[in-house]
Amino acid sequence: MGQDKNDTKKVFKWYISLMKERLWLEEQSKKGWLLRDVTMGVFYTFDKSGPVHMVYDVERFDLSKNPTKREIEEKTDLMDMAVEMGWKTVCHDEGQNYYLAKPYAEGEINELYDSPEDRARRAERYRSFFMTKVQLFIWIDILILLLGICFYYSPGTEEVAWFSAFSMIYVAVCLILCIIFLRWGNLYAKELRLSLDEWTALYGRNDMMAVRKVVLTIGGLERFLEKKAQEGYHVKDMRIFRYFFSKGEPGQYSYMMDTRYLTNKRRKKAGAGVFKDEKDWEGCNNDWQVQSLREAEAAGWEFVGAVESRNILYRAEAGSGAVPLNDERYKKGIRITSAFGGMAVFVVVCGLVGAVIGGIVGALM
Amino acid sequence: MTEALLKKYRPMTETTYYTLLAVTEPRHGYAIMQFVSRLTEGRIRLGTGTLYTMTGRLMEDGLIDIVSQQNGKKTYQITEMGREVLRLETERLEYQLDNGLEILGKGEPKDGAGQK
Repeated sequence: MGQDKNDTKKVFKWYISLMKERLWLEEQSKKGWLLRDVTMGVFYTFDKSGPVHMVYDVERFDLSKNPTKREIEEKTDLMDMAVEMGWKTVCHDEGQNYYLAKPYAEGEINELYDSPEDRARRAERYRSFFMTKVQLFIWIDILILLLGICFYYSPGTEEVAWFSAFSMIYVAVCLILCIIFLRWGNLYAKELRLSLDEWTALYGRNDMMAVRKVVLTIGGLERFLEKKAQEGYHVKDMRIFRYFFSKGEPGQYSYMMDTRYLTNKRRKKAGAGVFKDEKDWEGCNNDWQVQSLREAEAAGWEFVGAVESRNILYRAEAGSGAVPLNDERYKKGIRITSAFGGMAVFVVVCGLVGAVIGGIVGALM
Repeated sequence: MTEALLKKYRPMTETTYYTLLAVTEPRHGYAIMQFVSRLTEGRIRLGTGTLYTMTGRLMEDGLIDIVSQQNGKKTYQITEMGREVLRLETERLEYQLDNGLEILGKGEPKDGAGQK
């Protein structure tokens, strides 16, 4: 193109989130770098221009198994409409993701999709793209696994014994990839349902801080969160070992974590029936959470967050007179079921028992 | 006109209603967006995806038609059936509005009608 080297730049960047990618491209345009090409989804080529405010969007056009006439024409039709509305197709990558750009216009719609239904349709499309990959990997897995087993038991294949080892590693890698694709697909399905503004308000906040921390006891967790609150970081949401804080005024807060086990302890003490569901094999029944919420709110606690039906976290301002629901001695209890869930604990215990039995049988033979 | 079609479009979404109003005269995509935006004083803004999906659906159901096409720029116009659906929906809306006014009292919401 006869361009000076300074007129283009190539950047390697790997984005899992499409929203983050779009915002980054937008930032680049404000700095005067306009997207020209994307290769392998990770190499970006930019052309130098004056600083402009561009907005970017991404779309893909996967066909169904038996595409209708409209589906076949969809790409051309949507692109035509997009051009009419001021968008320009910049490029597409090897994954057939099409990048579109348009100058930002105040008061107008600066996204390809502005209605929740249309966004949901696109989100589903992205998710099913990953599901197709997952299905493919599972079939390859099954095939390789069968071949590996056949090889292992066939006489005269000792010289290719590596194949059995290879098939095992291959299957493991494929399964890990399946999990990654499943999670990736779900991420897209979740974020593409939102408009860029909604997404930014929820996930793109700069005043949020995520901390990974393994806290083994309930008391330890409460102390950790109290210390953070004193530094001005207030917990807003949590995962098993990840906590999300928002920056605010430093304050003295007390935190309290409640679990089904502890709720049942209280119920027993009060002489009421405990929460027990014989049919709840996976630990999904959260009747206890309703009870816990009632008791905690009556005692002056405020709901902060919960991890599925495993636990609930509350907080109260120091000096507000909120009384802890549970006995002090339970604070030393190790968080196992309340962190990972009953099903996970069950699976691990079964696995260990299986390994022990296998070991004994193997030793006897 | 089939029962199923009436069921699908009665009641119809506001964006569909305004799009059908826009194509009572031949208009292309961008012109539809501008017309609707002007008519509703900027309250309803149609984006690319919405317009694309809607024109596609209305075409499939035979409520609108492409009258000319130039370099991918399509001009749409309402069909006889589309006009009939639009008329029936307007009647339904009128009835709905009457009911509303009857309960809430006449005159009151007239000035602010259509605005929020």
